[in-house]
Amino acid sequence: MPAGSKKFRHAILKNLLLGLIRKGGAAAAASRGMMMSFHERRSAIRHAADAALATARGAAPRWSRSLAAELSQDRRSGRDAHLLRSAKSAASSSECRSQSKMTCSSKRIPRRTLRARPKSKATAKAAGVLARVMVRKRARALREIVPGGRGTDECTLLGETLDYAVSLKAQIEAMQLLLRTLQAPKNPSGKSSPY
Amino acid sequence: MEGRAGGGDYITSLLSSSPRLDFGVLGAVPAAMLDGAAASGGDGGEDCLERFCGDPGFAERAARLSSFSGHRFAAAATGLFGLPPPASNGEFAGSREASSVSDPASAMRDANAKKRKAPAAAKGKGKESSAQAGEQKDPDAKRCKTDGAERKKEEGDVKPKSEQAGSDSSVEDGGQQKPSGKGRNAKPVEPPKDYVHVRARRGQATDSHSLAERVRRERISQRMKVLQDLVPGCNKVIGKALMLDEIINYVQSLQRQVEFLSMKLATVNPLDFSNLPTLLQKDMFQACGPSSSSVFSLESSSSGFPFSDQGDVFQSFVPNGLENQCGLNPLDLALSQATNAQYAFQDGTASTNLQQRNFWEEDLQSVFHIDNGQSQENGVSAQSFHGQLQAGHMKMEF
Repeated sequence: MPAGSKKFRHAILKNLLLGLIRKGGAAAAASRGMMMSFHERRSAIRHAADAALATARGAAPRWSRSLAAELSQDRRSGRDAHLLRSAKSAASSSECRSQSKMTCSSKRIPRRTLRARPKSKATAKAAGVLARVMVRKRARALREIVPGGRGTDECTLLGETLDYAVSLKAQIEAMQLLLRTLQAPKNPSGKSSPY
Repeated sequence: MEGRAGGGDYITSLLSSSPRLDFGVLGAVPAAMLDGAAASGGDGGEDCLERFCGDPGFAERAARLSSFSGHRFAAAATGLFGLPPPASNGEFAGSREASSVSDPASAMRDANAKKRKAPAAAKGKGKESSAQAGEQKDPDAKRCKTDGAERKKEEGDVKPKSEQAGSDSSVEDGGQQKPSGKGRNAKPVEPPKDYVHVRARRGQATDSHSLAERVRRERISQRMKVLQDLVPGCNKVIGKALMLDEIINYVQSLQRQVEFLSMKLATVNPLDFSNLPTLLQKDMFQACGPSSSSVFSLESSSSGFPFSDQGDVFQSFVPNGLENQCGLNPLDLALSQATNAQYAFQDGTASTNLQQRNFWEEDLQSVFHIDNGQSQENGVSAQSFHGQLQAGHMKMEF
């Protein structure tokens, strides 16, 4: 499913809802009771959202496969088994696993300093080299951020970033929609619409 | 990607075969049009690009930017592109001969490079459909023995203007040089025509390595352009590094937003998972449109969600023994209605409403009221907690 379409957003929403319900059911069925910890809930929702995004996007872009691989690594159950299978066939799974191990532990977004110290600003050549260094640093930072960006060259990295950004936007919209739905005031009669 | 890589290899092979001619690289924009136009060679990563590049505004801008191809073919074979396909075969041959004759002459005259275009661009048939372009490129393909690269140039030919080739090429080159910001010592003036795909710019090396590198650079700059349109605030920034900075910031902010929203979703209702279906059922209580069969079709069509045990999940979930069908029905309704941003009370389906209402009324309302009471008092505490968390989250992040 292409990233920019409206159907994509709907698919994310639907997948997210299904995933959440499923998680709730699984939690109840596991006889653990409701998840007590807030952080558990939050991470569960985040994982469900990412899984919804990855499955809605399909196995076509590289980041989607990598994201599905990361999520499957986290979860013991092979929730995105199908995506993982396609990831194995399409991309190198070992690479995905290694980088997913790295990224899962440091899921937070590190932002290093990207400021380069100029050695000599006298010649244009030095400036050119400096520009290249800066671009390299930024490309490296971008690789950390976009899932599956490790093994790609700059050109595909930019393409993946584009796709990933659009998909993230759709995911955010879907989640906002869900949030609005859930936070809508409930009236007992249930007749009038909240908005 | 693979298609493009193939084009690059083709270019290098072509170069090695005919060393005498000048070689240049087409601007990125016609490649963009190629992306939008060509259906082949698109992998998944290209889909989005195609979508973006295929949009008419983008194509228009691309046409304006890279109208360099125009006057090259003004002298010869002008009518090629503009002619309707059926009547064009003889014309193609004739005009191609003319173009071939004039091309070396002009090539000798102007050393600078311009991506070689199908002879059609001169005709102001900028609005030719890409299908037609693809169609007309076939005779050209025979002559030029090109495939991917051919298409690139072909799409670049669809330009409305034909006169301003020189100036526009300079504009386009200048525009291209700016974003790269690297040591691209290309000169702006482009030769009117050449009949091999790529032409080196003046003062640049013509070996295969630099050529492939140039192609790669064109691709990168093209993608940067698309990203520039996507990321807000990137228009003012010029330069690869700064734009990458903006892109990184944007993606990071999107990721943070996802985090934040997931946190909000976690706090909105502590009984989130249990409330979810009942909440939605309650909201969608009145208006139930689609039947359960449609729900199941949706379930099956939602590709890749291993949801085989949904029935069990649901039954264990809702204690009062609601059926899966009915449970998922309002869920689907919630989906469709939420996405329509309205909770339409559909009176047209009043009959079904009544039936279902009678079915649901006792069970659901009792469940809902209980849940409502619980959720509300939990919601109050959650709100304060949420507020604290929000502040903490903000501190953590910013």
